[in-house]
Amino acid sequence: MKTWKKKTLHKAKKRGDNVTLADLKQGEKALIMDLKVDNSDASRLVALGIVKGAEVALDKKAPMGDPRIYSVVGYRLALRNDIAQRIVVAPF
Amino acid sequence: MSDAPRIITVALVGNPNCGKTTLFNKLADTNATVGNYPRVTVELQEKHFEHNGWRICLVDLPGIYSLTSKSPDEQISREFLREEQADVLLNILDAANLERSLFLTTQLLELGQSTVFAFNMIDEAKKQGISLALDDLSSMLGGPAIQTAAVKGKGLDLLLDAVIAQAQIPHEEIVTTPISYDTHLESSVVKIQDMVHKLYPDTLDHHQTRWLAIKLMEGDDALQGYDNDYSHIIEMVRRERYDLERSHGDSCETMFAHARFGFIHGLLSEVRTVSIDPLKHFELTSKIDSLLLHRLLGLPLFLLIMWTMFKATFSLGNIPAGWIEHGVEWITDHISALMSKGLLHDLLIDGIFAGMGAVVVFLPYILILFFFIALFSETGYLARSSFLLDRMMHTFGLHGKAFIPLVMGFGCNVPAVMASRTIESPKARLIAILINPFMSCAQRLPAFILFSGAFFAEYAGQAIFSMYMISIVTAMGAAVILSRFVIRGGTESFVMELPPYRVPSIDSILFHMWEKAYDFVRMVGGVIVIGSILIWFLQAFPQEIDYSQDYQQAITRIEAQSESAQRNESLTNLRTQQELERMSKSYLGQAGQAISPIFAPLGFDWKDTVAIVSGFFAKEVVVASYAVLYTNNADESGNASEGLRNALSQAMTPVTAFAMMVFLLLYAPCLSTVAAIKRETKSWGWAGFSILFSLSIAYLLAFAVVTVGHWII
Repeated sequence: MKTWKKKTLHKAKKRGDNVTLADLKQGEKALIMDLKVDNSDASRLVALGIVKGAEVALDKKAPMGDPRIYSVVGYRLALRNDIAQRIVVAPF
Repeated sequence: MSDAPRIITVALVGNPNCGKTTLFNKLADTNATVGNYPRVTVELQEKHFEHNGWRICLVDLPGIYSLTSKSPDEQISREFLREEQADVLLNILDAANLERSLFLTTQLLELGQSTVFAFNMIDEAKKQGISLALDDLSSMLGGPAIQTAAVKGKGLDLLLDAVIAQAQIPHEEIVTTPISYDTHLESSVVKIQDMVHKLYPDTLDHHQTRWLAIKLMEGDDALQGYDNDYSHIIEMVRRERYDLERSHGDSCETMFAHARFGFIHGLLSEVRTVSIDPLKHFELTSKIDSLLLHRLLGLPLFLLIMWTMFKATFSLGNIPAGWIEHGVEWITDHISALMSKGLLHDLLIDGIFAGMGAVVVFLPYILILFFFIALFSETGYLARSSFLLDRMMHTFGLHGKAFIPLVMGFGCNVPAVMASRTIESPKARLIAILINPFMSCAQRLPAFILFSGAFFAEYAGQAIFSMYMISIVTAMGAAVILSRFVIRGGTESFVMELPPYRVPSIDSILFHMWEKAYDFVRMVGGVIVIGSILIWFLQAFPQEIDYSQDYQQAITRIEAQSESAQRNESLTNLRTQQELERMSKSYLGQAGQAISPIFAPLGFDWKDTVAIVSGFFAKEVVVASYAVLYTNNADESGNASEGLRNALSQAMTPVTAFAMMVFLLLYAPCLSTVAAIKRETKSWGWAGFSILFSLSIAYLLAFAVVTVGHWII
């Protein structure tokens, strides 16, 4: 992992932030810190590139704010907020 | 060399939406379903063809993101790969999206099987300034790496040559790169691997035991299906996982994922160069999306597109449907003229031809509808529509992807039920299938027109519109009931890849249409022929009927009179009376009278019962049945004429009529739809459930209409 990523993650951990993917504003970038989801969701998300240290950005919201599209490892993924709320991130 | 063709089995493995199915079709030079929509391949498809004197059996595995055993698709693929049924694995990767595509590859490498790597959509990747060092890729992945552009047919011969060359390398000489894990993780894997090896010293080789150990440590029940007692291994795995998670503060899955992504990043930094800012390549897609997925305009635009699709389907479809109708008539008339009168003639003309003709007419609508669906799927808009509607559908326990099938149900439930296939979660798919029959298909409309014309004259439009409202409300209510109380299984959250917009390829759209048409004709054709024969038999027998009067004699007597309007009218009346009596004494009529007590609380008589029963075979038959059953000045085409409307309005109260409309709207899906439900759910149980469920809802709501109606009036 690149050093700046490590620093961002470390700082966020120190501050004890509890920002989740669902809190990101349009265009805002973040690093994924933790997946607080059950096993089967975790393995699904991991295979899609949602893994600790990965870079994500909020791309677009659906008309009623749910689901939302995120840019992740070079492609775009739509997630419902119920899952996004359980993905802890560190914005940068 | 011998002359016998040498056979290689090649399994296609790759993410959904990486162009795998297109490649599958192009390689075999024929086609199967394709779409710019995740997970189009539902069952395993195979194709056989020859290349350079080799016979290749190509198996298209479902599109998957990983090799865990979490979803049915992944299980199918994993079973197939584990049993080593394939001589060569063909791993298809989206060259424009390698970070994610390679994740599955890291799992495939651990299988230790002979693998060829196709870097597909290379044209798209090149536009994004991506170039790949293929030789380095080959040596690092341990198998030939080939660039392809499946849509344009580029690199395919090269790919097949590589597959054949790879198949000739003996299994022992295959060298795959191991993914290196964290020291602690690695020692746990080795420990488990030793235990697995002791359990199966002869049957499993090094690769297989390591693969099992890794999967077990990843929290996967990988040993399920193996017949030895492995409980001590499971216990060991549990302990190792617990220790690792405690000392590292991360779950085992995360640790494995890190190692995999570490490998991927290392690999890509050596073999890939990107000359354009990666954000640029989303530009066009982003621009289109900022309009089509706009927070305010997104939904109205979607509705406009849907409306255009339906308008086009029904106005364009009317033209060829008219031709087909005339064609069927022409053929029927000619065959009818050729044959002598008799039972066989009646069976063929009134039974089989009438039944099949009624169904074939819908073919143009289905072709046009599926043209649009294929177009949306190919361009990537279908995935967007699911995204736009997911929130709304979620309220009713449905999935965003259920919207398209529901709307299609207004046209015809049969293709709509078939379209539910695109929903991957089994629970959401089942709900979408079971509520579809409540969507008022176009074939129910004639009956609504007849009843609302007869009873609600100046409010006819509102009466018909209310049917559509009831239709939607019932479908949504049923979805809530089914998801809460009937269908078990957790709700799957909405996790979906949004592919970039792509220019659709004509041949895959045409193929999509052809395949659906073929499915429709084969499936519906079979059911309709049997159904038509059955209903014809029931209404044509018994042949010997004890008439209450001698119609033949009466007719002959009147015919002898001189030509006059009055004579013709009484002739028609007599014939109708005779037909009515014949119907009431046929098996169908007898059955109607036997069942009718059930409908007595709703105020329906035996004639209504016969119409209801006949509508089970095909909804459009309802009006035709009424035409025969009621005094009947209806013209041949089954259109409601003045006479039929008058007769009906004398036989029923408006309340009963409205109850009848509600009942006709909601009761049992037609036979073709039942067949489609059986086919898609792979269970007669659910097909039967669908009939009972909709019958009960129809009965309850019709009863409510009668009760409330009498209370008001």
